[in-house]
Amino acid sequence: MRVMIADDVVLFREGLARILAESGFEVVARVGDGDALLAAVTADPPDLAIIDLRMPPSFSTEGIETATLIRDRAPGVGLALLSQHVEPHHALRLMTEFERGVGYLLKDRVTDLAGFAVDIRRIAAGEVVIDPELVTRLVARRREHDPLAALTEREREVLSLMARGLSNTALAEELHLSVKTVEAHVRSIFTKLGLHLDEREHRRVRAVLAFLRQ
Amino acid sequence: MCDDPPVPWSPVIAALTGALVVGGFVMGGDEANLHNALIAVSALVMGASILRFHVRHREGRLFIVVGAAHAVMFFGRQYGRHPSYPAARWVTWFGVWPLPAVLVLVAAAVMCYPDGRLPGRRWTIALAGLGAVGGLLTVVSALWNVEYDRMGLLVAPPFTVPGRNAAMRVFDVARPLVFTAIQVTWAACIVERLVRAGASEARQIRWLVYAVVLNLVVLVGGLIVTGEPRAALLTVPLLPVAAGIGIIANSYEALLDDVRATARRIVTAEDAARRRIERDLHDGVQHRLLVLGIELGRLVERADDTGDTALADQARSSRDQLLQATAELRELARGIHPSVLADDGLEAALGMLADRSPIPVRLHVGLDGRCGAEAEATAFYVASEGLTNASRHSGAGHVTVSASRTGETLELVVADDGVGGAELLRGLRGLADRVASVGGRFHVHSPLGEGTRIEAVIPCG
Repeated sequence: MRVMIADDVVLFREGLARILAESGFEVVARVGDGDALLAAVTADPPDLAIIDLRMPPSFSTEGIETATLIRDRAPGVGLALLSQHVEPHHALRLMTEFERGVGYLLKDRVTDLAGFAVDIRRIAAGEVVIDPELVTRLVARRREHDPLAALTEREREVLSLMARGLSNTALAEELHLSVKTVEAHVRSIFTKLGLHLDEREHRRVRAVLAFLRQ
Repeated sequence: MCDDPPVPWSPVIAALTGALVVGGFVMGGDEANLHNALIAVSALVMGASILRFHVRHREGRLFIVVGAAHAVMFFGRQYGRHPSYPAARWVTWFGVWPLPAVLVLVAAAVMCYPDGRLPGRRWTIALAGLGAVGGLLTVVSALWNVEYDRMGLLVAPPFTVPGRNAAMRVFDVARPLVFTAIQVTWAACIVERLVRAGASEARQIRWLVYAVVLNLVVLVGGLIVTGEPRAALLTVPLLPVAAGIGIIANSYEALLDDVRATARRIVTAEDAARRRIERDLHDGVQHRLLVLGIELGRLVERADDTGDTALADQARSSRDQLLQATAELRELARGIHPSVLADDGLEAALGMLADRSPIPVRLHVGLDGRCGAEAEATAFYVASEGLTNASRHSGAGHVTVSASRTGETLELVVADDGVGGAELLRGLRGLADRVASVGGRFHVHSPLGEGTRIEAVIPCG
């Protein structure tokens, strides 16, 4: 699989490139900012671009802006946004602006190469991936009147996995349940939380994240 | 006149002026001469006050000179009531002839108001012209003693020069013309200066203008009621008072602005330093640790591949601890400077605070667009410190954080339902200082048993 990496911190970028290469990824470009990445992608689109969220010049959300431009020019490229911090609003923005093939991952994730490789392959395959740490934090948030209290243990589990971007099939696999059972759980969760069920993956993730963030 | 600082030793002149005025009063009262004493005292006091503020203020020095000149005239004319005093003729003479020169001096002081400089080349020429005709009149006045008749003195001039009648005729025509020209010139100069003045200069000139207008009203009123300009003469001392207040009030204003600007610079510098430290942590240490984490991750995989479970577990544990350390470092960096604030704005930053609060937070944010970085940072720190206080001391069940923007003001309120009784603790005191430094207002309302409400109203900046 052909991968491009954009990160202004050389140390991290080169470290990441090395382990990806060792794991069989073909790292075709390593750049330090959004413009350089855009040029490389335009010249020869890869399967996936790994993009640091904060890059020069202003170190704010250049990563997301670059991702938007890449999606316009080369819609087939998977977009894995890496962030140093857990920022729910960035994840929500990604779910609003992109329908598929997008992920929001903490940089910490690269220390578990096997898991990271699975995540970026899913993104390259068009799935939506949200970092589990972000979901865990949102679910664990203390609330005055906790609507999650109405959910069963299993439903909470399903909710968390849904928020991470897993499809019903993937959910069934992960939890060793039938797809039908998973679908029943999902319907029940949406009813209990008073949410409108939309089967489109990114919308479902967005709805759940937005709900958890309220 | 005012381009060249006239008096390098103002205190000496001030002391002599004071002595002349006191001495003059000791010699008895004279209603017709009283205004000279009052002008001397008011100009002297205001000049000295200005110089206390700005040691080298040119207008302050001019005030002192004006005061001194009037003191000399006052003293001389008081002396002129006592023919038996030593050197009575000569001393009296000094109280009489300088009048035209003193009027030119007063015009110069007014034209140089408030900074002690003439407002342009044209006015320098105008003042030079006044100085020339005023100087001629002064010479006439000194040689032929043409002013003596008006003053009702008991002492004769010290000398006589032939041709007094001719001089009188010239003087009677020239005097009203020149004196009117002097008044018109300085009045025109103030008006022009006021029209072109910036805010701070205009503030000062207005004080002078009010006093002049009052003087004119009293003059007209006095002429109508009593037929004499005497009353107006007695309000002339208000001119230096008002003019001096204008300068001093403006100096206070400027000083306050300086203090505020300094406080603001300190806050800005602190923010910049925090930001730099955060960046250094972010770009340096955190990434280095991450790369170390990558290495440990590889070690885990290798150990797994070789089936060395003990080594794999050890490496895994090391990696987890490392990640824990980086997580803590991240939170630390966030506490030092919340980059989310600069990058994504106050709403996102408040959301982050709410996400991390151990007490449930109700967040109401009504912000339309971004405010200045200092204003936003201040609002953020108020919310952050408010939430910390609530979670540590209040025992509250929930906290409400509201942020709203009305026009150019940002209002932030943190209210909890806890035990109340929060004094201006160290953290809150720091917040109050910080809010004040950006020109905002800070208020803590925390009656016992009724929760705590912290309000900050901050100019958007």
